[in-house]
Amino acid sequence: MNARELRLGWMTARGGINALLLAVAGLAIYPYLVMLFGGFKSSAELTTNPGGPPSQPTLANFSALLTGLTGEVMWRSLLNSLVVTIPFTALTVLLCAMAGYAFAKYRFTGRSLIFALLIASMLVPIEVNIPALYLLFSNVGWLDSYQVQIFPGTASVLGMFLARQYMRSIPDEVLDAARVDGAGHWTTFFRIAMPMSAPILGAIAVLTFVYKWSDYLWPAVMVSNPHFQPIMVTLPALSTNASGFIVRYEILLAGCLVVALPLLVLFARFQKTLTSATTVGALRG
Amino acid sequence: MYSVVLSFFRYNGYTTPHWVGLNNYSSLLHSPDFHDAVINTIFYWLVPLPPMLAGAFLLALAVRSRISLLSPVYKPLIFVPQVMAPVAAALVWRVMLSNSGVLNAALGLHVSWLSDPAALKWGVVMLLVWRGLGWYFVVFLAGLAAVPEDLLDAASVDGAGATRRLRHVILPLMRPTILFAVVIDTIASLQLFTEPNLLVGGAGTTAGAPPSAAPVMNQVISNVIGGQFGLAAAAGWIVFVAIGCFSLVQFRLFREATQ
Repeated sequence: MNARELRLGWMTARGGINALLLAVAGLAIYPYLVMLFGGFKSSAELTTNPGGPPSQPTLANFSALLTGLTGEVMWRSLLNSLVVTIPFTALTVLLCAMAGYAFAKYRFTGRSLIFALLIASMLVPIEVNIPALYLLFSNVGWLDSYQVQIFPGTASVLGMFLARQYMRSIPDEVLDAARVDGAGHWTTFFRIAMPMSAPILGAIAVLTFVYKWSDYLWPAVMVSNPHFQPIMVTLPALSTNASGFIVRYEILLAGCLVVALPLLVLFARFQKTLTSATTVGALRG
Repeated sequence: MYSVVLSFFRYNGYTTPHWVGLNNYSSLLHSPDFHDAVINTIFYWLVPLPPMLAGAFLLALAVRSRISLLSPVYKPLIFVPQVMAPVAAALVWRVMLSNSGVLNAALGLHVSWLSDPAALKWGVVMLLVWRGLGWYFVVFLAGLAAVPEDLLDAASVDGAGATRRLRHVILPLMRPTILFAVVIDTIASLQLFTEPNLLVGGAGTTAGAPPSAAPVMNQVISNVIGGQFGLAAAAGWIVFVAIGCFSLVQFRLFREATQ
């Protein structure tokens, strides 16, 4: 084999690998395209042309989705999703910051034991405790409510862990200086520690928002009243109605597009935060 | 802990709970649906795992190497399926797998992916691999970024080819990352619920995957909805013990790997 052949072989291999990479990337985004195209197709076209761009784009699916009786359910549940996700996220960030700060900057009896127990509890998924939690919330009358969607789960151990790791790097001198100037514990926390941890708290906020917006199992079990259901629970129900199973796939795709958009916008804006979080153990939803 | 207690009782939520000892466990272990659910969950765990992890690893290697021409583009593109909510992902795949859907059309097949439970299980696998691949890809990219460049250079100076560098430098250094990925995948797989159920249609917790394609979580959820809290707790407890055992084994391996 002479040098030229060798070079040719290398270039073919290189071309092949690059083509393969591009193909994988294409397959990864293709379902997004099916969703995007399908949302603008008529029912007839979706059957004959399931994968390509629409030949006669129509907004009919969106008007079917967002007006009339279906529209009422959709707008209501979109609003519910926001009403639940925003306070959930704010509360999670606050609790994670407070617990992280306590573990990072205070010495108290049993600190390392409590910390170890909390980390170990990450192995017990909330889903496994659903029967007991269902009874608990049923007894206090929280089923079919907003509070059952807002409060449980806000004490995120992973978030607390991330906040603690970050807050450990805040120099004690800074906090001491604040105290010398007469700041109490809370003032030091809110005015010094929290602003100084803004990057990690922002990351926790983005991750929590994405997780909560996407969550299905918890509201599906705890909330059966459509009045309080988030979009993730009402969207799959679109394909069924009282008279049986009527699957309007093109409307379903339009609905998926509506719920996927906020997350895509967040991803475009906070791409680095979302991808780098996977390496620390990540909220996989 | 309350769920442990609960699992020894027959309790419908309002009448007095009855102590039934291990009856909940034994009736689950004798139920054909529970058997199916366990087998299906193991299927959803072990079948997507090798292609997903190996694929993600090879992709990460290719993107990190000098072979790839467009490296910065791949990370967001391959990761983006992870950004789609599981509900939306399952619904989009439901449409893609339908009889006149894009998969049958593109491959010239006539498979009833959604109504034939055996085909449905493979549909779930495709969905899981599609959505999960990018996550592991990013994990492995980060792991590879931590492999010191000068170590690789030193190995090539010593005459190690690409394969030997992979086997003797990269793989040993990546073992903790790979095991981390396996542990996370195990925990996530045993709790699988949304994907198989929403792929088939139905809504809420009432309909979903048929018993021959349903995961173990369905045993927990359907018993909660049906008011059989003792049975539900027992099923949940079995899932938890399974997660605990697998995690323990994997953490042991993990510790050996890092030493």
